[in-house]
Amino acid sequence: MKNNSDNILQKIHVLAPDKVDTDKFLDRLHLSIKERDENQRVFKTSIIMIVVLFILSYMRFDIPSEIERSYYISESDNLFKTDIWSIEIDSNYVDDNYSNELAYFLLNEGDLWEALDVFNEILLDKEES
Amino acid sequence: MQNDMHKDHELIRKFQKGDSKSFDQIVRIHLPEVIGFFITITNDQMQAEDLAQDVFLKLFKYLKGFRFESSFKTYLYRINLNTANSWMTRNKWKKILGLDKVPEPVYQSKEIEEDWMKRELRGAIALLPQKQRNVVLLRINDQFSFSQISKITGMKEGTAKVNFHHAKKKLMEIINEE
Repeated sequence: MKNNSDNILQKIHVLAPDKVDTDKFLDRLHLSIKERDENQRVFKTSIIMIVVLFILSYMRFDIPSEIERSYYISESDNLFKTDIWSIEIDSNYVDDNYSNELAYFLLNEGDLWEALDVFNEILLDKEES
Repeated sequence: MQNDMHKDHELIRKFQKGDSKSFDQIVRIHLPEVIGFFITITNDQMQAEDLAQDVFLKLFKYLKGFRFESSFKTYLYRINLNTANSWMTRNKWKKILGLDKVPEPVYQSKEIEEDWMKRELRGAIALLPQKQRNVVLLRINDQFSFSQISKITGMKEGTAKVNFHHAKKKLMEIINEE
C-alpha cells in the first residue's frame, strides 16, 4: 500500500517546473529563518519587559503599600500639616526637656519671636493648671 | 521508494539531533516537487517559490517534533495543502474585493484562451469548501490516488471520492455562472 502510494508520489516529479536555483533558495530560506528567530526573540523580550514594568509599577511606582498608607493618610495632609502649629500635641503633657529642645530649635532656626510665643504659651498653660 | 522514505527519516533524525545540514539536504531533495505543486496552483514561478519558502519555514519549525508515524511525504503534503489553502483564501478575498480584476479576454489564440480558462478554474477552485478543495488540488494537479489522498487529508477514502464528485459538479456550476 505504502509502496503503491510512493509510486504515485514519484509522478509529481514529471510536473516539475523550470529549474530552481537551489542554493539561492536555501540562502533566502536561511535568511528568513534568521529573521523569524530574531523577531521571536524581540517579541519575547518585549513581553518580559512589559511584565517586569508592570510588576515594578505595581510594587514601587505610585502605589503605596499598606504600611505606607497607614502613615500617610493623604498627600495633602503631608503638604500642609508640616508647620509647628499644626502638630496636635497637648502642651499640658509636654515635659521640660521637650520645651527646652523646642526652644533651642526655634532659636537656632532664627525664629526668636516664635520661640518667645512658645515659652509664653507654656507658661500660660502651667499657670492655668 | 522505501529507500527514499528511509533516507528522509534518516535525514530528519540527524536534523533532530542538531545537524542543520541535513535540513538543507531535505530541502534539496523535495524542493522540485513542492514548487511543482504550487506552480500548478498559482501558474507563477515566483509565487510558487514564495509559497515553497513558507512550507520549508514551517517545516524547519515543526520537523523537530516529527514522530515518524507517517511517511515524510504525507507530512510534507499536509503542510503543502495548508499553505495552498491559506493562499487560496487570501486570493478569494482579493477576488471578492475585486483586487484581481483582469481585462475581459480577447481571444487571439487558443493558448491565450486556455491560459484564461486555467486562471478561471483556479479562481473557481479557491471558492470550493476546504475539504473539496483539498481533494481537487491533490487529485487534479498531482494525480494522487484516493487512498493516498485519504492518508494526507485524514478523511476516509469514500469521503474523498464523494468530495471529489461534489467538487467537480460545483466547479462546473461556478465556471458556467461566470
